[in-house]
Amino acid sequence: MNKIELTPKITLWVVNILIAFIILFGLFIAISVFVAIRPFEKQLPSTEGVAEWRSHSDMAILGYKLDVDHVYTSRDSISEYYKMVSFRIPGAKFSYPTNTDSVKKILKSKNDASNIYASVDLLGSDLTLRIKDTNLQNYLLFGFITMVVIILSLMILWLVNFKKLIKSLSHYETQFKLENVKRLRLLGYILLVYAIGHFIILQVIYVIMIANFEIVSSANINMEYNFQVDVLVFALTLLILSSVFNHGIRIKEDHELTI
Amino acid sequence: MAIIVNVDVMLAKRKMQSKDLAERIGITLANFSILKTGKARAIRFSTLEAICKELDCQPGDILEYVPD
Repeated sequence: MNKIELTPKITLWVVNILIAFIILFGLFIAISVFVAIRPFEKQLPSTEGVAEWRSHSDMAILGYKLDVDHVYTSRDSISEYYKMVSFRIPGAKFSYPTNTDSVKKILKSKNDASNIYASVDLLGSDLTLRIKDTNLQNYLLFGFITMVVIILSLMILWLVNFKKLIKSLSHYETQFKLENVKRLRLLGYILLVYAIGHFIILQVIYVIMIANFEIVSSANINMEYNFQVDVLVFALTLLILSSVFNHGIRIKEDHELTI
Repeated sequence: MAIIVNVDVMLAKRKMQSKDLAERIGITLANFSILKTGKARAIRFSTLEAICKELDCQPGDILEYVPD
């Protein structure tokens, strides 16, 4: 039996490691979403004698960490109540937003304590947002979990099919089979759906953000996302390859039935 | 198919077995039965030449055109 030796073995190893990594990542996400203990509570600036932190919740969406704090501040027997929301990017050097003074200023100037104010620290740029809809956080969290589940399962489906394809392609006898055409087509369509769906979902989220957040202080922030052209090109390449394989099957049949 | 393979007729005339002919022209019995049952899509000139040589006949004795 003719067999192509080294490259498929390396590819299979890489795919196996990727699958294991994705499963671990999924477990990590699941644990951090459902069992997360508020990691930022102790990093808060010292508020002893001045402020009292009543409740705290945090969530993440698309890599942005979203913390919601309900804050009671009491100073000189005057009580103030406001909520503060902070964003952060995991991995980026993060300092907890300490511009409580500016938030307070805005609160005082607008005389409105019922709104949620957000202090955003995106890669060093600091700005304050106002969230119009307080129920939004629940939708954001739900959407984040759903997206993670869908994307991770798509990834695992893709990699398992890719593994089967590589195994099948590494033997000359099983290269031109109808299953390989179907697998290539499936891989292409998954990537196509991913590229288009990713773009649409991010646009929807961007629209929701714009509709529900109001930029109060000035800073440059770019939340628009580019279309993933490379994924789209790869998907189209796989689809073209599947039709090439389909043609190859016909040629192979003709060759085999020539006596 | 409009082309009919009459190898078995010639085999019977020459009183030869499929197995022997397949061995002499150097193809497997499986491929020879594909040819005999008309499943083959094409036939190589070399194979045709070998069959004609072994059966001592013309290609027209083996292949026949019948309009559909």
